[in-house]
Amino acid sequence: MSKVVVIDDEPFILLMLEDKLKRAGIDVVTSRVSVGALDIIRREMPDLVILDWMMPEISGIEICRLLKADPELSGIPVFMLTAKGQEEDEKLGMKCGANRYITKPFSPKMLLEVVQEEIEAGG
Amino acid sequence: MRTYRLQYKFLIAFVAFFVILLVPFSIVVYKDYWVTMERLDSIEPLSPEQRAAADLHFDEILDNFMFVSFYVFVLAFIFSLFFAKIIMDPVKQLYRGARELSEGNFNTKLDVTTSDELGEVTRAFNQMADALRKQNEELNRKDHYLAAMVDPMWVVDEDNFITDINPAFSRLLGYGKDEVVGSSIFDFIEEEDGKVMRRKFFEADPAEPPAYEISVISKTEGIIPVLLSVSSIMEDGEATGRIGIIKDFRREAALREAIKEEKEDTEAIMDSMVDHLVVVDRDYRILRANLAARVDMGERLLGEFCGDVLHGGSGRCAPGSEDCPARKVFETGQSRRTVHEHVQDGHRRAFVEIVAFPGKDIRGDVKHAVLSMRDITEQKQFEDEIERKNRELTMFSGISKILGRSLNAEDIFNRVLDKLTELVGMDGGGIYLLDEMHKSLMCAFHRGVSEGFVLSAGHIKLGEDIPGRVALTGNAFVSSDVSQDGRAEKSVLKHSGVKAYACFPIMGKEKLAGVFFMFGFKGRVFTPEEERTFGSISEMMGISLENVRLYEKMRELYEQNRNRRAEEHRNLLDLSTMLATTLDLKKVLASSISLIRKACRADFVWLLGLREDHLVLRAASDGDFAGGEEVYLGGAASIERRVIEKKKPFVTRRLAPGGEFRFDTRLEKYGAACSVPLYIGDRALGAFTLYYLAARELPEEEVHFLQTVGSVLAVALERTRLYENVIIQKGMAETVLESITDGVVTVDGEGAVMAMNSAAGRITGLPPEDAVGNVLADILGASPANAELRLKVQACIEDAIGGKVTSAESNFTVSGGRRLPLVFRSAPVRDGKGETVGVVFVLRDLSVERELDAMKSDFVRSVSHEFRTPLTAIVGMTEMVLEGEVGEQRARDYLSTVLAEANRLSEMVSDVLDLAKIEGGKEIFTEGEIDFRAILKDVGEVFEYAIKKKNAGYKANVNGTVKGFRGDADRLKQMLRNLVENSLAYSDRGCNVRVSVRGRKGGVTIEVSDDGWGIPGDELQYMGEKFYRGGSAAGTKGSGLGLSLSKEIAKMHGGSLTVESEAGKGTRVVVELPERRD
Repeated sequence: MSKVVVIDDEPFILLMLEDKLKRAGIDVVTSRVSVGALDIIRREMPDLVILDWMMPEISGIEICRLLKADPELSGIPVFMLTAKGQEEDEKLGMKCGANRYITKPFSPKMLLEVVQEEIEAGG
Repeated sequence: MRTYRLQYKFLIAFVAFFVILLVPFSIVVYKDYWVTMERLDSIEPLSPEQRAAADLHFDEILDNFMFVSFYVFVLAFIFSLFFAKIIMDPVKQLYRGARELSEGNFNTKLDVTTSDELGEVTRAFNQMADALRKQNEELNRKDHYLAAMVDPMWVVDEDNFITDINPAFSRLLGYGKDEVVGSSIFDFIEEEDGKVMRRKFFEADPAEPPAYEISVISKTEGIIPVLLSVSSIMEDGEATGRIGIIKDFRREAALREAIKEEKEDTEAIMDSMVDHLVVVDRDYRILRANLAARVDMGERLLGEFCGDVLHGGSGRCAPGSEDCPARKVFETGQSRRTVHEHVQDGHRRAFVEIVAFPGKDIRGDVKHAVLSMRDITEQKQFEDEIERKNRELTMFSGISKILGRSLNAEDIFNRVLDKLTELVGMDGGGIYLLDEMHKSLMCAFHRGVSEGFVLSAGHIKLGEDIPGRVALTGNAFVSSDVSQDGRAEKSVLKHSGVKAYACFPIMGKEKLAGVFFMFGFKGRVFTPEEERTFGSISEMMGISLENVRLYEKMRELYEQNRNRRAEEHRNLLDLSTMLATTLDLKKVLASSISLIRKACRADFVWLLGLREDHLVLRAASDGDFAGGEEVYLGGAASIERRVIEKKKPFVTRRLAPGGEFRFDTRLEKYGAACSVPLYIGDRALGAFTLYYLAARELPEEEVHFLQTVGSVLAVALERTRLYENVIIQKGMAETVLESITDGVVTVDGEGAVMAMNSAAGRITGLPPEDAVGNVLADILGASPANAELRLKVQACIEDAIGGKVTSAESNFTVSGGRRLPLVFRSAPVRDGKGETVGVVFVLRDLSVERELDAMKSDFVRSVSHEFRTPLTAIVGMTEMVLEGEVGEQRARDYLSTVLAEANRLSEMVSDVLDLAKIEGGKEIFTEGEIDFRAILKDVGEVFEYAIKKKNAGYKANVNGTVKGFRGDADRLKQMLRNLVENSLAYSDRGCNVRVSVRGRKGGVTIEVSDDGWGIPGDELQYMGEKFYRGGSAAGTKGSGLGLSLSKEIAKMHGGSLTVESEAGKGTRVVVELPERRD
């Protein structure tokens, strides 16, 4: 079973994604706090990580950068979930190694599709 | 053929043997038969049949016997053949071998096939053949040797007839062997040589082979010189012949000839040389000498010791005598050059350069020394002369350098003394200078003299002692031993240990300046050249001394002049500094007057100004005079009136009452006066006058100086007056300039700053007072980062000078790297005549505007972000509910989230709209009485959850009288909610938030404070700016509108909102609301 870790400080987004992905048979581990996110990822070793950008304490971009710098974790694909819609923001996100950049608001259906696509591609 | 015969002999022997053997046997058989028959007959007569039978039997026996005989014969024949062969084969082989040997084949070797006597014979034959072969080889080898010999050889018998020659003989003499064998050897030798040889052969001792140099006659080449060696051939102690070996001696003879010629040539060369050449052996005896040597040193030179001949002295060179070159050559094997000094004829010194070369034998051992000697006395004398001249020149140039380089007497003479004592090699010396007043000499400089001696002998009266006499007479004194010199009888030198002494007068251009002396503790001969040199040096010293004195005199004059100028200059400088730094007219005048009085050492100075036609006292150095007093009325013939009219200073040596001028009565005590007019262009301002108690003359320079002072003073007066007029106008203009926020800079035609307002100071970062005088382009473009700005500023100045108004925009990087976007506009500044005298710059710092622009786009981004989050819930959850992906209960949860987020969105929208409305003044103020307690309660309830979650301390209270305060309750509630929300949002867990509403006279003060993160100082100024969110807002949600909205609400109520904060300590927001009256 594939596993996805979702980190977002907005509880309803976690709830929504958990429902959507679990229904598609994907195991979901969520966290509302960004502190310790890397520990969770290291523990779960998921197939994909979905990160919110704007979070108190540590931003999603920072987590993504740390994750990509860690040789053990760098292989895990990362989706950035963010309300930042500007083009430069997207560039910055990609520069940090994010595999995909999803702008809020988004369709859960579409998200599921890209998640499945990414997991299948990762094999 | 003989072999066959032997074979036949064998055959015959056999047949004979057979016959001898068979005949008796046949007889025996036959006789036996007949005996037998008779016996039988005797016993019984035999019948005829028996007889016939017996006859038959006998025939049979005979037949058998014949057969056997034949058989034996054949067998015997075969055997005989066989044995004959066995014996004949080795014999035949021997025969063959012998034939081969006789044909010269010494390699013959026979096979030994039998071990009998024949075998022995074969073996012996083989040994014999071997021995013959070896002998033959030996002979052949010897023949080869003879053939290989390079030197010709002949062999003769005892009668000297040639028996043999080798090929070399034929080659040399051209005769074949056949031609010479049998001829007498003397046929080939030159007749004379032949005769000698015959005799020599006769005398010769056979044990010692003689060698002769003879000539032989060649068939082809004629007579050839050769070396012949002859040895006898002895046989049994008897000479049977001779062997002669000839060596071609043509090359040797040629070489010998050449050597002989060479030797003769060498002799000729040696003899033709002017230098003396002698060859000495290891005993230092002269073996050979060339012609020059023989002529100069006598023919009997050969065999003498070279030491005896060359320097008439000690025979052989003593061991260790350093400069004996021959000795060195024998010791080292190397050539050696040296110069000997010989005393000839008892006194004449001669210098001989001797070069010795090793003469080596064939083994390389030094056998001889070849000495080449040259008289270099003359050359040496030249060299000495040159050296002496050089020394003199060095001394002259050294001393003249010293004399020429400096104008410091002490420096010059000390160094001259040093140089002289060093160059001349004396122990010391000194210089006495003439003291004309006291008619004495003072020892001014000295070297190598004790202070005690200087004290006792350093002061000499003219005519006393040697220096005194030299000074008096002007004649030099030189002595090689002063203690023995009669002229020094009375001198202190007599017993001072000094020996060599020289004293020379130092002559100036016209008269004596002093004397110089040198001394040495060893006797020393002063050559006439040296004396001349000293004379020249003393002349140079004299000139130099005069120069120095002249220079010192000039210097003194110059110094005096310079000091006076410096003082004037200083006074002027003081005056102008004072004038430039003060603009208070009274003070300026008072200070100027006192300065002038001091500078010119006057007793009283006053300054009169021209008012209408009267002369009014403006300032005086004496307190008795009051400013403003009209001293001389128009028309009064005062000295000041005169100088003003004539426009030039006037000096009077005596103030005579009733004289040319009218004087104020108070000035009667003064003796002299100098008055100077004050003019600006053609406009007279007044005059100032210096009064002296004593009658005195004023030097022209001083009057000139006062004139200068007058000009400076006039300008200052005018400037001060103008300044006073202008200051009021300028004050206004300046106030305007200072109050505008744009930077205004005025620069002159060169771009140098003339004035700058404080806003420009803020922008450039240079206080206006420091900026004045600096070039604007340099101020703005000092760092390389501002190169572009610099160019633009320069271009603007050029445009403005050209009369154009231009503007440009550029970034200005201030120290610290911050970039200010700067827009500047330049315009020409014109004077009254319309000529451009400068450029005015208006600089505007666009950074605040730019920042606001940036904030606006930040706001758009931030608002869009804040809108997107609730939209995510609305879009996402609705989609999932619609897709039927969630159960009913979950769908309910979803929908309530959607609702909450939709409400949040709507609230935000209204915040934005409210702000826009309030800002646009479109908001309707809904006024009513405010119940602060209720509002605070409501706010507390709104944040109850958030407070609990943050574990925050929250206190809200209302103090004083707030009843009856009127306002817009919703807006005030909105404001408080925003403020409390901010406090909670920008604080850590466990923070404390206090809200207090205090009624006071004339209004209400609302305070919301926290101990949260606070706001850094640089961000504080932007707090309450619309859309601004501080650095710590990055991780929190918000539109950046809360505080702006609150500020607008406070403003709406006619009040104000201020934020006080310190990073890390907390924030306090104070809202002052005035009481509203209907």
